[in-house]
Amino acid sequence: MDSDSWPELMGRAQAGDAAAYRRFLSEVLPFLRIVIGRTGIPFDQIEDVAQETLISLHAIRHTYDTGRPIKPWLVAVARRRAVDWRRRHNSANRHETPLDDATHETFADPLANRDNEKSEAAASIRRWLAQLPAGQRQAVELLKLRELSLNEAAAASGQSVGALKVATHRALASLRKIWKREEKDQDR
Amino acid sequence: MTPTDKLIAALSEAVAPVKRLPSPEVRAGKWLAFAACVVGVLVAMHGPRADLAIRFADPAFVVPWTASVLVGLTAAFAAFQMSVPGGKRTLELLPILPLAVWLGTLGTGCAAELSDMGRAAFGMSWVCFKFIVLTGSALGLAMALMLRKAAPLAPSRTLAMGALAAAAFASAGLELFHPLQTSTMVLVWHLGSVAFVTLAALPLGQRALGKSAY
Repeated sequence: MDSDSWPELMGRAQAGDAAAYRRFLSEVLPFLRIVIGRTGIPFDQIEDVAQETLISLHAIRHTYDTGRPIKPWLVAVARRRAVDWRRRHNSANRHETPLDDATHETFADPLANRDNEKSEAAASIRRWLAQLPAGQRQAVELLKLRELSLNEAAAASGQSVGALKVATHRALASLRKIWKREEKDQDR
Repeated sequence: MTPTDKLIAALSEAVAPVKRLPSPEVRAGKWLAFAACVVGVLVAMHGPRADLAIRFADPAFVVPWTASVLVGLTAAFAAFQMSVPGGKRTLELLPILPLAVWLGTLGTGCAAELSDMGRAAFGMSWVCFKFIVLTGSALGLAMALMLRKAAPLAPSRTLAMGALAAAAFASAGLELFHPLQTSTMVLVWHLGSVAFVTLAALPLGQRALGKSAY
């Protein structure tokens, strides 16, 4: 690492010399890693911050005056990118909580959460229906879940329309009781 | 080839010749020359005050006036230093000494006048406020256009420093053709207007220089 040649290489890079620029960036990279490491950036993040520093150096390469020491210029940009990383990291920590239990998974998209909640609700209904007598369960499945008309449900089940009405009424009352009982159990 | 090697290859392939920014001293010199021309033309247009030669023999005028010019010089130099990475942070403190002298000499005169004359030492001079704000804004705009070509670390502070330089020069120019009767009035209307221009630039810094900040 011959840092004496860096101002000259950068000067040639400013003139559009791609080979000099490539050599310059390659040679300053280890120096940038050291500077970034000293700012307390975690080891596994140093390379990311170094890449961001290289991009910044590229964007402001016209601001380097070849008559001046180059290290303060490099250090200022590298430290700035490290500060930015820390700010982003702290901001993310304030708004995010690590998930340690799959049952608490949620999604950034509200629609995805709604679909997730839908499947949970469907599972609860299936569990509650299983607790009903067969006649009541069949009436609810045909009239409420498959949304058949009374005549269609009567034809499909072999029950009379009146019997289906009574069975549905009793099934909904039973489901209401089961639901309330589960709610009480969860509150305890 | 690691991702960083690929990035270096991509950046070096995309490298195009760039026009190197002149040193902060050269850029500060250019702006100072422009500011001196603008203020000089304005003084010439209004005509120098009749007692100018007498006033320049009076330390009570010369010391704060010279301090105001030095505030302009040091703040301009500091602003251009702050606009490039790697500049010495201590240079930001340069204008403090002349600012303290300016404030101190005017403050001393103000205290003496208030004890002798009471409230009579104070008077209204909105003309001073208008001149310093308008001239300071014009010079500050020129400064902002030059600072945008660089890459300031702290856009708000950098623009405020430039605004301080611009307003201090406007104040020094105004002193040459618009006499105020008391130091109290100079303190209130000149330093007050300079403070107004400087503080007004703070919230504009991000908008004016944010895109070029590194």
